[in-house]
Amino acid sequence: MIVLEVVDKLKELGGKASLSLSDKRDIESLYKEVLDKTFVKTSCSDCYRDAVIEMSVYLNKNGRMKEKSNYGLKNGVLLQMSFGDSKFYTNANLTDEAAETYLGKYPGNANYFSKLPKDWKERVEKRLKPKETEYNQVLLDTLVESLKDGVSKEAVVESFKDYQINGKKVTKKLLTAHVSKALDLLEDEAAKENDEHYAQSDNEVHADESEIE
Amino acid sequence: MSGVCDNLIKQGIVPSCDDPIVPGIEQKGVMMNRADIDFGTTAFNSTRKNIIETLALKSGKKAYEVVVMGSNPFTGTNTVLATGTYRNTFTNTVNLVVLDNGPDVCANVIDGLANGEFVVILENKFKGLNKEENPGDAAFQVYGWYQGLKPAELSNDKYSEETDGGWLVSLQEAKVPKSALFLFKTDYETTAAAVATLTKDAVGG
Repeated sequence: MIVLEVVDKLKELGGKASLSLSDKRDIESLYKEVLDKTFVKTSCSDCYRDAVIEMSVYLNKNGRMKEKSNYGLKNGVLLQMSFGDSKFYTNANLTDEAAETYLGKYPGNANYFSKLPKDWKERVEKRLKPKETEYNQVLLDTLVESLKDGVSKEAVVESFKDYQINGKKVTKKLLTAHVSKALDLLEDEAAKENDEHYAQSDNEVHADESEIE
Repeated sequence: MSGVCDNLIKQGIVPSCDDPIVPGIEQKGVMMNRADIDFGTTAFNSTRKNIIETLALKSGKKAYEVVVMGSNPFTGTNTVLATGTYRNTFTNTVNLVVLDNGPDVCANVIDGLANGEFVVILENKFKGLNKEENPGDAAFQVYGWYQGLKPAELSNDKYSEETDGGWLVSLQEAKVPKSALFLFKTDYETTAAAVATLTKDAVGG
């Protein structure tokens, strides 16, 4: 269900004077979907209404359902990325990214987790691998031409700082990566031209030698 | 020298004027079955051996809130010296009242208390928040870690002035080697958050 549908459903449930068995089933199911928690049935008569309020408050505050994580912590455990870090993670805010980043740093602490996907080691490895830059070919070609014309690297970075890719201004990091790639391409092109030049010269020398013989 | 432990005092006995001690315990505590603790995962502070930094439960297990209302919750909770032949130890007592009765309470709480072993975390009113180093480390005190708290008294008096027909519970842990154990991680807020996770529904397991 999308968020708006859930919000409407919660309003409907919250407005009912009494909740039918089917309404209670809906609340239990929504509780899992919105908060990624299992609704615990108790003898408390207001618990279902409390659950509706809890879900509504969460959606109002966050605008989306709680991100489902493939990881779960044992009760009592909270994760800090470094010793004494004021930011910490519990099951309430744990994401796959946080769990895998933590396990990348502290693989020996896998025993803090009560729920781990079977391939968690591979996921952690993938998370740690530096992302390969996705180059924009149009920008790359333009940069190559500019650099070919003898414009310096710094001047190129300065003049392209407001360049947009898919309507979004390119970051300095991404632009620098493109400029470096463009320089590499130019170097490769120059090396290739050199090889071809020497190969041609070789052929001419061999031709002269044959004539002399 | 190995085999000789804690026989020396290591700091002065000087009350703090900036952070004076206050009596009492907060109304909400946490109780868990000692068998549900994941001792292998639990971590003590590397230098301060009466501080637990991570107290984890086994997968699928949770702790339970214990709420004692009134102006002196958990009254009678104390720690006393017990002299021994070769070594002195401590005895911890945790008192609580169960202001309820009925088949569910008796089956799910009292019968369990009667024969089980428990660990209780109580929050002291004195938290040491104004200390220079490790402010807040006096807040959460752990009872039952070493031997488990076992029932010393479980009584139900229908006309009790104190319990109005509920249950008086006294749990004791004997032969405790340390005067006190605290739960503390980074600061008071972080520790409180860790304590709060103990009573959540378990994920996984």
